[in-house]
Amino acid sequence: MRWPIVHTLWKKEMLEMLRDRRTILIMVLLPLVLYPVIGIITSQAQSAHVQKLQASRLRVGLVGAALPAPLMQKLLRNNELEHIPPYASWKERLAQKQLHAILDTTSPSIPSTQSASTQQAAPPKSPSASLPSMRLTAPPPYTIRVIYLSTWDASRTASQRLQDILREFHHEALQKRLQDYRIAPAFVQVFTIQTQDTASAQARGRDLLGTMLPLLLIIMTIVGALYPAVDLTAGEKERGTLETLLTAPITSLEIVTGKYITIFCISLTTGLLNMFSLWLTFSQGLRMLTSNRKLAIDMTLNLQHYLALIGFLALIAALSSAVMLSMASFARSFKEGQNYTTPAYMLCFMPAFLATLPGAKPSLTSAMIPFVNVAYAIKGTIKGDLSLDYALLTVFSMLVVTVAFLRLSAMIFQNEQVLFREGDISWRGLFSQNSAHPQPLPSISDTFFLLSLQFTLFFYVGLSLQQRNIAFGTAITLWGIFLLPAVLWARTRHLDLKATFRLQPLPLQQLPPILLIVLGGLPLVLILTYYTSMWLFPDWLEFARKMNESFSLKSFGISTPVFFLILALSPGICEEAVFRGFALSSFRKRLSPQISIALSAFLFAAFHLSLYRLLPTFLLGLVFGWLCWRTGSLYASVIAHTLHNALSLAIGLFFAKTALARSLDQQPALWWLPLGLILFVTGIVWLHRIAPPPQSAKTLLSDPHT
Amino acid sequence: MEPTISPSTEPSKTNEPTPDPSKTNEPTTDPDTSLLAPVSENIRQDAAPWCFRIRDLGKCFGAHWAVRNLSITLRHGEVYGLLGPNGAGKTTTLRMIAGLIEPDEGSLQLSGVDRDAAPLEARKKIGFVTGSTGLYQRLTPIELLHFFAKLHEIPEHEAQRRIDELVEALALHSFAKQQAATLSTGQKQRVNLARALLHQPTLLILDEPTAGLDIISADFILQTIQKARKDGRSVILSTHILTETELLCDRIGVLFGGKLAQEGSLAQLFQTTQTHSLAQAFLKIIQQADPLAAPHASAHMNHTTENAR
Repeated sequence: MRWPIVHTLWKKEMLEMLRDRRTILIMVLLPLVLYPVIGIITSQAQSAHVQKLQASRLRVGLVGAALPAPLMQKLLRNNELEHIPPYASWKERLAQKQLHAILDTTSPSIPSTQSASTQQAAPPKSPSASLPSMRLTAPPPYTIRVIYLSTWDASRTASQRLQDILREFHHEALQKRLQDYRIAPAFVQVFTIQTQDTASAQARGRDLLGTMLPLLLIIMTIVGALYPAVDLTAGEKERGTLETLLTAPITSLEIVTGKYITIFCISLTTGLLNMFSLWLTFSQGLRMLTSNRKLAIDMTLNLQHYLALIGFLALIAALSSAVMLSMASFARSFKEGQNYTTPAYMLCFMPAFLATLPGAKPSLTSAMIPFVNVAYAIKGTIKGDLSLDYALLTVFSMLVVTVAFLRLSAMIFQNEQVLFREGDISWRGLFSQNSAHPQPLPSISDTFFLLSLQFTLFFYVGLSLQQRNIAFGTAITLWGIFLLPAVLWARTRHLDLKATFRLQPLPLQQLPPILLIVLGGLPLVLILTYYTSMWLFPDWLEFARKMNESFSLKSFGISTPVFFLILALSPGICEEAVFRGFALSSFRKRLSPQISIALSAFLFAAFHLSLYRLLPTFLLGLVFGWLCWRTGSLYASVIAHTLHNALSLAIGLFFAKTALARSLDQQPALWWLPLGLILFVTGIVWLHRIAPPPQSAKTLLSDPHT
Repeated sequence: MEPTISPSTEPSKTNEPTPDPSKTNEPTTDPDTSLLAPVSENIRQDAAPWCFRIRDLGKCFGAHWAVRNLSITLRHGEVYGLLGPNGAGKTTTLRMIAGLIEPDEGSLQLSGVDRDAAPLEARKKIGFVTGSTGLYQRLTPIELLHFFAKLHEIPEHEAQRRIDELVEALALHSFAKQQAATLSTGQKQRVNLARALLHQPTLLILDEPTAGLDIISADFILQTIQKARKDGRSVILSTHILTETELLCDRIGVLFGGKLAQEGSLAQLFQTTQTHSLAQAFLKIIQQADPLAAPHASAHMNHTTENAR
């Protein structure tokens, strides 16, 4: 990649985008003008409306007996009262909005345990209070019901105003009654309730911001990427300029990079301007709100907040630009581009929406889910409770997915079928080579669909089976969910089974180095896993203990040979067939060996569904992948995988008590490191020397014997 | 698939050295070089008498071969007309030559550069214009030319000089600083041609370059092609306007069903088909290739083309 060329492309794309009024509209005008305008208009309209409602005269219906004269006076001060007979259809009058509310005194009185009219005040039991007993008389309390319509704002206000008046009158009446008997008002008051919120004004402001800001920022940043992505890909195709660009002496990777950086810049700018504008609108609106009420909310953020927010926004912009670029690249026209990007847009912000719901709690798993993790991270940043672990995992996961989508975009841009297609898109043709020959090897899309199917089955069927009966469930998962669909898929697609699953005989002399690699690899993986996991996951030991427990003879409840069959041989065969056979073969068709092996190892690791085991399984996947590729035979990795599993199980089963095993198992001793390294490297070098150089996928096929 | 033959292994009649690919694109130092600078002398005298050669080119879409076993060789300064009915594979062929799509079979060599070995080098020697080529709507012709000059890695001052000359030669003055969205179709096509000539290509690929243009604009394009030919550039021209072909082309190839049905100069075509007009010859060739495709090489067709002339 030549960066001066990318820079030239970027400059041109930026110039073009900035001259486009639509970009400026979405990027600058919308956030800078729309939010404040909407904010100001709605808040002003709202407060004007409320004030109007507060001041307006109420039409109140009165049902039942007349109220005391002072109360009537109070009620009539600003309002109109209308006596309604009890049988009148007052509900309808309220529904028709002829009345704002109704006061109803026909309700039964509060049943009192004692007659209220003549009440004997109980003599105080304490000896100090030697007051003479006195007779207190008062009319029985009655009930006033305020009837209103909650769906009509004027009625809601009316209800509040009426209640205020009633409460005021009640208070005055009570005071008067107490005065009559010369009782101090404090006498009827046992205590008063006060509340105090210890949250500072700043904390309250940040809580408010943390709830509102993440989703809006994510949505606006994605929107910022959407338009330029469609314009720079589908739009260029539609205008016929992409063809010219592709005839220039530049690579498609340079074109994609130039376009990507442009989309990223616009998306990020949109996000930043939105952040700025939203913050301004919120704090401005708040100032207006709090000016007449005693509500202390402070929305100021400090420099660290801003830097972290900008960083997370950059992550959002990076990923959404990559997603939008790859989706829009499929399209031939602007309209088609919008059709492809809209679902992607929904898919991106829906998870983020869930994360911003109140009560949603971030777990470390959520840190691996793109957009969900940034939503939490932004929330956490503003509220000040974001852990460093979470932030780092978020960055890592967002970047990994971004790179994957960038890779997809580059693939699409190198695919002439997508660039110059005339008819409808064919997914098969997209990932496979442009060739008339039948495909004896699986394509990347084959692997993609197969793994999705397997994952769904695994997640919904396999896991529940394993919960019911772990031995049976594990066996079914491996043979029925992993191996069987892979074989069936290969059969129905008429793939070459032998080439797909690399069923090449393994020369006997290659066995010893493989043994060395496994023997040396086991302590290496254990040590690496232990020390990185102890550092990454605080509860690693607990997890390891649980793992050992669940994978024990006791929990399986089966005989030792069957135990080894299910947990050593079965994974060796079934998982290798899928990840090193099917997946690796398909990747090798288009990708370099290194990337293919890494990709299959990553998928292998991901299928273990555990963050804790991601690293060890990934490392093992790398080793198995290399073995399979180097020897050209699946048997190599099957043997290695089986042996590795058997060894690990045996250590737990038979040698758990010995010091040797303990030094490996619970807390691997570092002195294993040189030993393991020597064995491992010797094995690798040995195998590298005796195994013939691996054939490329293509030559493997053109060989008539395969 | 036949192995790719690189120029060095090509049996040549003379013992002259093969041209150095890096030299061929060098801007000529001759002070009075025009914008359509003649292709450097060393190419004209090189071992290979041809400027451009494709061998057994083939392209397959799904199960259908759009083009197969296509071999064409062009001399320097030769204008080659590619004729054929719609769907014959003309655009596919030109796109393969331009490097837009990858051939499934065959090789392509361009004044000493093997496309498989150096795809970007090969692109630097090709200028590509189609009737449907668009311009960046919000760039001015000047900006567009500077942009492409940078992509071709032409030094700044040299780029400026060439652009000035192109503006002069293609009469772009009046609209050189106007955004492309405001230009007429004819003006746009002139800018496109300037863009294709900017890096002084040895081969011009023109896919229906006059499609949708008025007579004046079309004539301007044709004159520019003539000038380019005089400067030693080879041209492959695909068009449905037979008069253009007759006027410009040294040799004509008739493509049908992805294969070259007939090839030769105008006189040769007339001779082999026993006809007196290109339209008649064309129809006859198609008829010979597939009797169902063109049932009657009608006199009516002949008549209309005569009128058009």
